[in-house]
Amino acid sequence: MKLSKLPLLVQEEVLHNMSYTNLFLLSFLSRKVKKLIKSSQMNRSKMIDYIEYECDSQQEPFVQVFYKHDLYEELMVIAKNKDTHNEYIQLNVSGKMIDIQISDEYIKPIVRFQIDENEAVISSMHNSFLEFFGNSVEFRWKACGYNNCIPHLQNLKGCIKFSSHGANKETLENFFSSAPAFKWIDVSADGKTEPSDPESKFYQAESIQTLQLRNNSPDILSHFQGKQVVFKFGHCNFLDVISFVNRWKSGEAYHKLEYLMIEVFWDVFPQNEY
Amino acid sequence: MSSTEQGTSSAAPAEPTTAPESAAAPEVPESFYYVHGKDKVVHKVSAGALQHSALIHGMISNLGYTEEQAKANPFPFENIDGDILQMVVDWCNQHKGKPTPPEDTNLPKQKEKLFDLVLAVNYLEIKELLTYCCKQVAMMVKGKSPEEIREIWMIPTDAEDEAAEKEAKKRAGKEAAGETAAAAGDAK
Repeated sequence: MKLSKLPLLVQEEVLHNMSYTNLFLLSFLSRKVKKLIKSSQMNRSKMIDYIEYECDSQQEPFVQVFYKHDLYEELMVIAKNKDTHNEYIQLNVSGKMIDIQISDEYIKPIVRFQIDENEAVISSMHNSFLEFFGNSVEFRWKACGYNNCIPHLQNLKGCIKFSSHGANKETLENFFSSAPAFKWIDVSADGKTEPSDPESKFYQAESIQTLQLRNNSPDILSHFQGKQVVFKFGHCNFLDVISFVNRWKSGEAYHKLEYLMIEVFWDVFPQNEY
Repeated sequence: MSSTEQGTSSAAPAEPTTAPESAAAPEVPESFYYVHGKDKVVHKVSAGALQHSALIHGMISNLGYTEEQAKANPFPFENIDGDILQMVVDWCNQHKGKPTPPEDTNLPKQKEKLFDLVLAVNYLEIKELLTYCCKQVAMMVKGKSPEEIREIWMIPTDAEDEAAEKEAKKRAGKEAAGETAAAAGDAK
């Protein structure tokens, strides 16, 4: 069966029925095929919201395509090389030869890297994704804890959910100072553990959700520079919150803030006392 | 479900067997039309089944044939192999007046047969069946490596594409030169 012998509209319908994983692999076959994929998948690519690297503690990210209507599809996995008997195929990805494992054992292809080549492989894959999906697509790196750094890659923003309970403050500071900009941070804070630098990328995250059961962490209230913030308090120092709202309303601070939500679980917000 | 009589010539279609009708037969007698492929085997198909094909449906609407005229003038589809047309007719009969299911597992697994079916269905403009066929073609390469995909779909390399393009240009140049020479000869 020669695909190119099918009428163009039929070729496009075939491509439309393929997963992005297969289209991505198909794009390596020739410039002509790559061009066909790009031209036929324009509407589909417009539906992409972002592409996420969901990292585990081993720094082996799942790559997933998220659509605007909340659906997503898995693209591939990038993982350490293993001594398996499965044969790897090699692909020239953005000028670097990369091992890819495609087997019935796994649903998605696995891009394999040697430990010392981790960054180079991820960077090459990222460049090929940019080329394939276009430069305007947003990428997110969903970190698993703050012990491993988030790479600096084009169009990539960080995301992290963590608890600062018992956190090493220095490790946290290093994590945020070395990271790219953040899309969102979801932090369960226990006492004052936020970075001390008001210009830390922590406070510049586009969106922060913070759960603080016992004490306010007033630094978030003081230094936040993003667009959305959700405060969930157990007990609450109301003066901090009122000062936050007043500074926002008066235009003194929080110029980018578009959305604020405050939940207080155990205290009752006093009416007309301040 | 076939409504075919093997070996019937298109010039003088014999009485083909009729496809079994559903239990709830329509009150108004259904009209039938006749089609044949490359093998000249004539298939009798109801207008209801043929509604799946936008091409044939359009032809029927424009012609306004009576039963007799339809029998005497089967629609010839010389570009479609007999066995492929048989598959198409069967599919149209099976899905006559029914909503099409999201999947169709009865499509041919052999890639050459599927390829011919895709071309026929595209030509006959049977939208739902074309969608199934395209899904099936896409499934052929699921979980395959790029080189396996190249082999299955016979995708040329960049070098082969370039060589083919050069060849096509050369041929076009030769043809243009030939036409110019012929025109000059005519002028003389």
